[in-house]
Amino acid sequence: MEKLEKYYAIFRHKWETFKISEYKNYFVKLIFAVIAGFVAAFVLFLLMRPSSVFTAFLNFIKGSFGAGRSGIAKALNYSAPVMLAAVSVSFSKKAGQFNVGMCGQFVIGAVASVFVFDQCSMLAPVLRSLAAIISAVVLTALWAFIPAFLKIFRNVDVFLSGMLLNFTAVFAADWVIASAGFSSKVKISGISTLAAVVAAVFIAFAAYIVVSKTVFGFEMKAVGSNPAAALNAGINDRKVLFVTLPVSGAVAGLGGAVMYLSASNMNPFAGFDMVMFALCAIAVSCISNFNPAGTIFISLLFGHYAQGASYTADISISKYILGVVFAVMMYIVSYAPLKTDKSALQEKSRRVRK
Amino acid sequence: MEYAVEMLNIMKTFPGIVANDNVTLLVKNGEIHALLGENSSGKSTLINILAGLEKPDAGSIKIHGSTVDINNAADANSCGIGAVYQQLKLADTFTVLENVYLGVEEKKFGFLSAKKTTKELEKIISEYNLELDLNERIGDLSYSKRQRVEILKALYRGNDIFIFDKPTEYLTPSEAGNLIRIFKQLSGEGKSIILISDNLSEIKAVADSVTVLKKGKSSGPYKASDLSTDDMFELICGKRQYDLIQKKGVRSESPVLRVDNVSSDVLQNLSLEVCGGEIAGIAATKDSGYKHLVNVLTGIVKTLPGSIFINNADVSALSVRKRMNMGLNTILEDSLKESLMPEASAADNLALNVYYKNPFQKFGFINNSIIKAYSLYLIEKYDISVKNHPNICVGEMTGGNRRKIATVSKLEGKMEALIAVRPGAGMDTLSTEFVYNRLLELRNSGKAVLLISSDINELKLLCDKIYVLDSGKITHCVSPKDASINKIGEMMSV
Repeated sequence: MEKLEKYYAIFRHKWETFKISEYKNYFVKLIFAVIAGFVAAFVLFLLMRPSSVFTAFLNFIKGSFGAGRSGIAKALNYSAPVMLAAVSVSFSKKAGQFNVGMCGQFVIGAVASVFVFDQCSMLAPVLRSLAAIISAVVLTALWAFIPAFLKIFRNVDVFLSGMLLNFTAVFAADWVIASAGFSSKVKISGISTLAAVVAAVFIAFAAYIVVSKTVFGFEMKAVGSNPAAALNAGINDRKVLFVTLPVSGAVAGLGGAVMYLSASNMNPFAGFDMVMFALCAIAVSCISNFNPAGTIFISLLFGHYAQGASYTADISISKYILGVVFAVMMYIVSYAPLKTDKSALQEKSRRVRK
Repeated sequence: MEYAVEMLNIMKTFPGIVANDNVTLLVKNGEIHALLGENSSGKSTLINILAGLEKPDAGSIKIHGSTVDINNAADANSCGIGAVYQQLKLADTFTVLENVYLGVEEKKFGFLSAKKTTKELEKIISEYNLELDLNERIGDLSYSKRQRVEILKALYRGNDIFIFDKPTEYLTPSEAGNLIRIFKQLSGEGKSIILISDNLSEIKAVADSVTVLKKGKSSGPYKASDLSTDDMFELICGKRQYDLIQKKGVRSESPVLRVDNVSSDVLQNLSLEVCGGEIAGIAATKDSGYKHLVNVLTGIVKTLPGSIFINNADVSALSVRKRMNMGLNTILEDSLKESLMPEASAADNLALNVYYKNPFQKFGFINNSIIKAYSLYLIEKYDISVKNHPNICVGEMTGGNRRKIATVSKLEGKMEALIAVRPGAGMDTLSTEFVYNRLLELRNSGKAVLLISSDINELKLLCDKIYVLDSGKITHCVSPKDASINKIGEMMSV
């Protein structure tokens, strides 16, 4: 009995610290996100097909969570690239830069990997995939140097230059696709879905460790939180941005590579569609509080919803509904009436006083 | 005599604190009424209630004897209340004229027409001797001129009750004198002025009566002529003077911090010396270029002609961090904007200057438990009142605690010379006293302290010698014993 009380006290303590930590907000957001996604989907179906709203909704749920093992595999297929793209956004956000250029970097990574994979047919399968991935990562890191360079030496907003570079990337991609003669749908089996997901989760955790546990992460947070204070504390903010932005770009590029190298993909191979897909990663990143580790769960959820959205195509509802569902989720979660840490603390001190 | 403003039994609470507790403010017609109090004593809340930015929980407001209901800034304006805040609310890209008639535009067939307005404004400008050109852009004007634009705006709207929030803090003494002349003229015409200021000698000279707020409760009105500045200080914070550490004679003859002929686009051939065991002051106004000087000293701005020495070692080519490791530390003016991470915890902020050293890091990984222990040690040592909560983020703390954290984090490393920029600005008495005592402690232990401030009282209180900085040049160097406040003021504004 005493032992039980002791455990209860420990549990109580953990629960109290959990309640005022940022993780609580994250979990509340996660639950909110799941519910919000279904509500948003239901309302949208109601608006689009009032007569067959229930069929559509059931299809959506069935596709999302009830399609068996193959369904999960397909869902993971969506999850891995979106996870990497979202990690890219979260990582640069910690240094105070909103890397919207991630979409363009995603496209560049995808096209570069497919191009190299296509050209290197003489290599062994493993080497072939590896060459494709490495070329994607290196090229996107170089691509991401452009906004980093502009920010550091010309103080151009990373958001703006990234936005414009997205256009460049999309049209450059379409040009390469057209001139290299890739079909509108590519089907490459370079790496397995499982490997892609494991790699993505590993990178998400690695990013989390870098941000929260290393000296460089501390400097990133300082620059992101208050550049003037970082400067006055002797932190080289140029160095921080010069590393952060290309790394963020490389991760996004890896996302693009993974998307088309992992088995059987049903997305058309065109710049604009890839950008639309990558944009969802911004929503994922927002919902997960810009925490790189937090993107893991939200991306998995995203994969399931994406899978569900493809099922609604049976009753002629566009699969682009997914984008709308995610956007609505983002709004709902962003404006969810979450208690901030401060009010929780105040409440706690009030209880203690009583 | 009739009252222009009567704020009776005002109550206002925010979550966690009572900002105004049964506050009464009575302002007569044609008087300059000073509102005194420390930071977070409820001054701003009271003024915001009068200006329509906040609603009181209880209490009533009477303007010229009739009860009014002020719900927003437009209501306040129609009651004749005009407020001039420290952060002026003007559009930089507009001209003076456009700023003044913004919101009350004169229209002709739906088009803007400023003929009549221009005439009226010209009249007001010459009447009050405001020295403004209506077609100049606000962005090109000095702070004191912008302030006069705000006055012009209030006068044009026919306001007869003026609120001024720390109007002279950024002004040179001669500009302040000019502003006070305008105050006197306004009050002579029967207009009432509510004046918030920390400069007690100025209040003593200008104000007719005084209301003091302390922890949300009001006392007064007192007649200003009945109170000395020490009396006012006592009413504000409960003691007659700062409890400061006594100075000891430990001055060494060799300079610890030496600046030799530094020039830049702002500074001109600037040289100064601070010896060990000495507090050297720089009297500097807002436009004198002191911010640039600080950046040059800390190393944010580099590659200049001229050199900077610490203990006879040339540091002019070194980075910010290398200079810090040589013992040159800086306490900046605005701790939240310039030296803290607002979203991070007190622990992270206290570690901001040491995180890269052993044992705070090992193989590139931060040791969070050591950082936490370190922060608890500092919190204990300097008695920062965030005890047991080093995880609260700094942005949510009071200004005094922020200043303490920013100060303390700089004191722990290697220390040879300390630069302190306006350490008393916008702080409550206790925090100011805390920072002053740290400076005196450093001085008594033989370090060099360079104090940059626009507050001459502060400089006279602490310094062993005072330089005067004017548009990037050191124009004078005086001993605080020989020079009166007025004399230093004159030197600053030449």
